[in-house]
Amino acid sequence: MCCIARTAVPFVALSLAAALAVPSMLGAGEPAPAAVQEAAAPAASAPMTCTVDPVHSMALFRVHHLGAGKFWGRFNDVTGTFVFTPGSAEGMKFDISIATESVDSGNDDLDKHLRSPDFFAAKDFPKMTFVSTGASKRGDGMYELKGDLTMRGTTKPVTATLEFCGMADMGRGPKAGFEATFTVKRSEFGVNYGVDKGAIGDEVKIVVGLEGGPKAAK
Amino acid sequence: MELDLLLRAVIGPATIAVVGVVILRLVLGAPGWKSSAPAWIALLLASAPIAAVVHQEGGLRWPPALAYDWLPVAMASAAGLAAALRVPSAASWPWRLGVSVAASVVALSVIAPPGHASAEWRLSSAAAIAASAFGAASGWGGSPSEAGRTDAPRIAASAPFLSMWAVAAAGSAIVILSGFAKLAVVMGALSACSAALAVGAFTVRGTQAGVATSVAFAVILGAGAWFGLGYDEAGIPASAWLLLAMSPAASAVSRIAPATWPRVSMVLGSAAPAAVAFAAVAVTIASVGLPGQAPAESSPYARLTAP
Repeated sequence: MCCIARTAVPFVALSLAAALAVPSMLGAGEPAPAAVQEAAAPAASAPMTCTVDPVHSMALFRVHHLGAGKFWGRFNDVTGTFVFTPGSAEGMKFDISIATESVDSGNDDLDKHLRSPDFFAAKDFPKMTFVSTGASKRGDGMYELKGDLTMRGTTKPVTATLEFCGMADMGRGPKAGFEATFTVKRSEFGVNYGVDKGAIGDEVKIVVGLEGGPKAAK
Repeated sequence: MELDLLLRAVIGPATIAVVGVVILRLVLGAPGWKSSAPAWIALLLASAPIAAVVHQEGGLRWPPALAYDWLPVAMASAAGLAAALRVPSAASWPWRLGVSVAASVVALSVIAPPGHASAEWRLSSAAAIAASAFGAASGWGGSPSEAGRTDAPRIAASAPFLSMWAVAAAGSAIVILSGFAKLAVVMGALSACSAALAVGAFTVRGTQAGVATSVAFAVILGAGAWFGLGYDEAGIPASAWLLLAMSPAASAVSRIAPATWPRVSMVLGSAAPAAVAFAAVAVTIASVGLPGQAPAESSPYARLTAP
């Protein structure tokens, strides 16, 4: 009996551990929603300066093609810095640079065309940039970000909807993530190929996903 | 969209050019047209690619934002200078060389394609294009002995323009393979205008390429090829661009035929530039292949569907 009791103790302990582990394996242990994290973020009053992690950041663009489908492409090389204070728009700053050469449509021939002066003129303008000029809070984890977008040598003010995606430290240092969405008229930047007859839409939706931390991570 | 673009940026200017030939012939009269045709045709020829640029960009951008925005300025200055100098077909070779060098230097001094704007590139490009223009002036431009002939068959007047048509069409094909569609349309406009002028030369007596038109064509083509090289995204060998730019010079082989064989001279002078330009297309295709629908090599889909 004694032996049985001694043998049973580890089984009970393992069963308890398993019972606790299953919910977390099923997702109950996933990070809390961004707003919760934002509210619970430590050192909420201290601004955090982050360097964009180019591996886990990208810019997507979407444009209407031939009056039919919505075509998506991306830029793979996104760099820069951002400054933010968790839970506040105070002092929020974004200085983002995108290498036009890194445009990626998934088709080599199309990539060549996109890099040519018909579109991004990558050899004349290797970078397009966004520099924020102001931010205001619009809700839990949501901001309105104003800034200047420079593309093909033309600078225009744009307003982006900015979502704070989360902040955590999973052993690789603190990381914060944002997603900015805005729309531009490409013809205003001199990118007019296919605009006149609507073969390729003038309005381009841009989604920029950023992840960064106090140190650049690769 | 493509058909509309072809109509407005390629076929439209070409049609206007040939209508311009007819109107100028009527206004100037036969003697006036015969003496000034090459200068007017040089301007008409340049107007087509310039119109193609303006149409595609919705106007001329000033100040230019891209290096490419200077192309219309280069084309206009080359054609304007070649037309203004009015070197006659009977001019001796130093005159032909002089106008070739002057037009090349003026045109290339205003353009600076990305990655190829150094002094070395400028000098070597100007030298190559001047040599091409000199060859064209000596071949397409007509030999001094042929100058002023009114009994030449109509096809002899058309032949240089037909050759220009083929050369510019080859240039357009190379440019489209490099990924720069707007420049391909510009070259297409140059090609279509040459074809239209071939019809004009066949139907309107006294219409001839002469020195001015030959030099203007060679410099416009050379400037286009230099921009093509500068903006090339496909990795087309520089030799293909050089072959294209130099192809007008091949018209000078017409001089090797004896004066008593004018038809042989005409065929040689027309076919040789086209052959060189098509060789440039062949080099391009051998190097980068034809455009396809294949996904990027980095795509997992490419690996899955690889034969």
